[in-house]
Amino acid sequence: MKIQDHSILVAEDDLTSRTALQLTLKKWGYAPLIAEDGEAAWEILQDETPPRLLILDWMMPRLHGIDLLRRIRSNKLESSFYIIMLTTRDSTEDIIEGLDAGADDYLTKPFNPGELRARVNVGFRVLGLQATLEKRIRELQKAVEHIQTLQGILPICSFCKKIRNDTGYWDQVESYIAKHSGTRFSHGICPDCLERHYPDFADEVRGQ
Amino acid sequence: MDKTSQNKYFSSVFDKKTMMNRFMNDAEIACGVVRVFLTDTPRQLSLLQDALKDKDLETATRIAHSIKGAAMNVGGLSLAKLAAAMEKDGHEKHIPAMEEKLGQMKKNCHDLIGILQETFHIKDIP
Repeated sequence: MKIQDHSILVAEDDLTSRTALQLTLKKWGYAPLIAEDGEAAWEILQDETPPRLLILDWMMPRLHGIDLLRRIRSNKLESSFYIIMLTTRDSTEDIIEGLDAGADDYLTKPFNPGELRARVNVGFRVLGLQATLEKRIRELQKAVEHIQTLQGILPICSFCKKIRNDTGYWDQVESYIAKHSGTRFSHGICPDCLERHYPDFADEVRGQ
Repeated sequence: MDKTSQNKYFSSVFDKKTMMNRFMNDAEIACGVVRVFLTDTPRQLSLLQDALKDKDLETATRIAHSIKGAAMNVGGLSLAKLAAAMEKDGHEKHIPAMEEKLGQMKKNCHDLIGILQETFHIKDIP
């Protein structure tokens, strides 16, 4: 797993709660990135490789965690995120609102360290599965594109049988197929070509 | 206040067992969090006082909410309860009730700071 895979974005305005989370996550081997409010967290998410697991407080200055959550889910960002709401708001209505807004998990403060750790682990497990799935989908899309190319009409030279590739150059048939399908070729001589290019040897073979 | 009442009062102000459980009995983490609490909470109380003076309900409610979270982290049960009650007053837009609780919160916070300093052997607040 890469280093950024262990990073966790913590958005919490209260310094004491923030320190408690930061020290606890560090002790478990994670790399917490800290934001003091929702807007600061949003800025961090604009990075090229932002943390994929987020722990958000509900009530913060500038931008509340719940509003940040809605912003993330409505913006369809390229990366997928696993978001845990960590808040003192513990009513059933709040939990429903948090999950409806797009939270993957909901924990109430003060947190039980064992529970938080278990839920963070679940988050990383889900992110890992998601990454594997995304990779498989990309591979399948690529394969489908190759098949479509092979199934389409190929411009082929009537004499030498070279194929015009996507960039306008003419490739040998075998190199074109190898490039687009991953097929490997072994070279031999068919009886007709043997007759044409090596008639003596063809006679000998026929005699045997 | 007699000794028994004093002990009862102190245990309502600070619950060491709950706090240490929260930090997996890791004294280093607990001490690190306490140090931050000792520095930050008096500042938050002063900001809360200013917000109440300015009748800035939104800021006062948010700070009460923060103090509640901070107090819970260090086992400050009664301070957390007071802050929670003040936050509720804030949501109900009841500024006089918030102002009433401020004095009690300051006293409670002062006592909690003293107990925390003694428990974690912190002489000077950073």
